[in-house]
Amino acid sequence: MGSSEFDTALLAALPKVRRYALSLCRKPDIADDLVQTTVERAVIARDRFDLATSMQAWLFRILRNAWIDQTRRNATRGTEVDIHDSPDAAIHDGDRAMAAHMALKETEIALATLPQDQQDVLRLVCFEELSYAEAAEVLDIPKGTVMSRLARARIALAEKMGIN
Amino acid sequence: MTEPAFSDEILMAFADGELDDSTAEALLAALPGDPALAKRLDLFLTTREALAPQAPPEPVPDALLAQVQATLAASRTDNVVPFARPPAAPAPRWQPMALAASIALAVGLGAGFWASGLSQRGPGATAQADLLGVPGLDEALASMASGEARDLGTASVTVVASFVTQDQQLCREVEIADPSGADLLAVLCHDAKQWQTRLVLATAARDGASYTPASALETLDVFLGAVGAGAPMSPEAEAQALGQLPSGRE
Repeated sequence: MGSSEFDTALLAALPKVRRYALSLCRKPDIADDLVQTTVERAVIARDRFDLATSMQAWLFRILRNAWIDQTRRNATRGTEVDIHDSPDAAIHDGDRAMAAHMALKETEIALATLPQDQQDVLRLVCFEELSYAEAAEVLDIPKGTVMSRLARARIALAEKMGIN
Repeated sequence: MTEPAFSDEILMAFADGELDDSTAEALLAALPGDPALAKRLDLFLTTREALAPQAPPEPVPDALLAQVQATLAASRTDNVVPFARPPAAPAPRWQPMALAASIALAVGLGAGFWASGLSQRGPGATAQADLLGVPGLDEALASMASGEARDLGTASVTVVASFVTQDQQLCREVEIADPSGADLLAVLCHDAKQWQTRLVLATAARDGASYTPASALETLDVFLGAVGAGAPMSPEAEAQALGQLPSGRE
């Protein structure tokens, strides 16, 4: 793939990549750092990107791995992020606080109470509108696992939201 | 209890537009006569709709966009940048390199450059009479301090550094610029009798010929590693080592 073609595809996917970063880490400054890290890793690996596949899914995968690396490092280093250093951190930090924030949509509250692996597939397929195959690539799990997990998540979400 | 004809995953795939055509047709045919099936399908349609994005993503902040564009731009020129000599601090260049393959490559390249350097510069000239085709170079090597430049008439010579190899040979890295256009970077070592050319690299071609200085410098690094080059000598150590050399022309 030509270098300008790669750049164009990357820039086109950037708003969604940043939205996904925000959904993972919930703080704009950390999200932007994560997006930049993702781009740096992407350009290093640019020769391995296949034009026939989705740039968005490819970047999501890099971003998610970068986020996992980062949270793992933070975990071994102890709590480095002070929730008081960001005025809106309190409402973003953790499921309970999120649920307590009454302005949040009912769906988001219900989503936040689901197990993390179910949240992941719901967000990627229903919100980010990736295909099952793309979500499988991002999460590095088989497509069949995406489908069974997503079906369970949808049923659980419907129960919490009082659908059916 | 029997397995339903249409599993949750089939219904979900239909709601998400991922069901194959023949199964989708079968499902559509079954739906009108099966309210329970329709209700199960509705769950997947409703949850999909509930989570669908309400708006397109926000535009990327200018600062982030600028940073990303700089990263992309830098990556387009990366194929020449990594080999560039780092500014100042020559020390890391002298680290012995562990990779046997790199060493073999460097020795091979070095020999090639060496041969071409000699043939370019002085067919028939003996190495000692006119090192690299530059009369007076041997005396300059024996007397000049690192950092010093001297015009030898046919070329100007700058001594970059001195070091000792793992075989305890004193070596000097020199830059040679001659009026014919090409600049050379050379390493010459003293074998206790005379100076020997060990490596010659074309580092620039002012006439526009297409040498690649960056990779020449990388080759130098690998060469220095291959001969076990020690750290560049201090001026004092260098002066002492030069003073101990036997006189060049006995």
